[in-house]
Amino acid sequence: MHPVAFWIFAVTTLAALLLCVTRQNAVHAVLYLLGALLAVAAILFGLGAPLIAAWQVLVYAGAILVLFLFVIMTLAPVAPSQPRRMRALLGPGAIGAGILAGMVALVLLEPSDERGLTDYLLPPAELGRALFADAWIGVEAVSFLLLIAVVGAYWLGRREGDPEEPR
Amino acid sequence: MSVPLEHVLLLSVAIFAIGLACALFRRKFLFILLGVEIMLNAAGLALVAGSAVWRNPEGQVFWMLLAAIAAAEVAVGLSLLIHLHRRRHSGDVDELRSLRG
Repeated sequence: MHPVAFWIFAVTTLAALLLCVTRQNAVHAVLYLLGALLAVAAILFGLGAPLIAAWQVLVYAGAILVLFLFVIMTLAPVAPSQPRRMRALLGPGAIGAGILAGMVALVLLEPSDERGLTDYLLPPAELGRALFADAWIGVEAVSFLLLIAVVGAYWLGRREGDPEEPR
Repeated sequence: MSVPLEHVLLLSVAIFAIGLACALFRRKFLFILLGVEIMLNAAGLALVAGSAVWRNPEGQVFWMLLAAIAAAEVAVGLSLLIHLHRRRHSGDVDELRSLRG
């Protein structure tokens, strides 16, 4: 990964995160976090982890943030949209432009032959072998943790006093 | 030319610091969850960078476990948020002073 591409993604990530944690509107904060996670996914791709980058997009940006948005919109109905001013699009536009510029830099500035972080690339098949052959006990532990989380989320989300629910 | 490990770790520390500040200084429960997500992501970036430096898949394996842990944490956290809204009709953690079940 060329340092120029890395720093474009790094600055985009930090700007999106700073915008994210200072928002009052929860939906805006989650969408800025989406921009930051996409930029981090590009950095992960540059560090020789293509499968991890895909998982970052699918699991973090796809599943977890959609869950956040779902809960926000369940709890607090979104106010009717007001006429949009151009200035309101400045932040999201800058984040999108940063990600796009980083991608262009990533493609154009191909890494040279020097030793560095770039010449390491872990193929997904080897990652799967390491995950399910060597670290299988961690996989089992995490799957049990996910089961506990499902039961806990169901228990916390039940309605009080529902006669059909066991107490 | 390539990115040195120190720069990736620097970015990771900066992301972690932003997430920590978000989790500590925001009083809305949703932003605390977002801060925890940001911190987990910073840790994952450092893991993948270490995996690239030492040419070892274990960093990426740990990233996978970390993602599953983050998913479990966010599921329980968001159901706690729904519970908080049903009980107190607000998303402010200062309402949660009497956690007696």
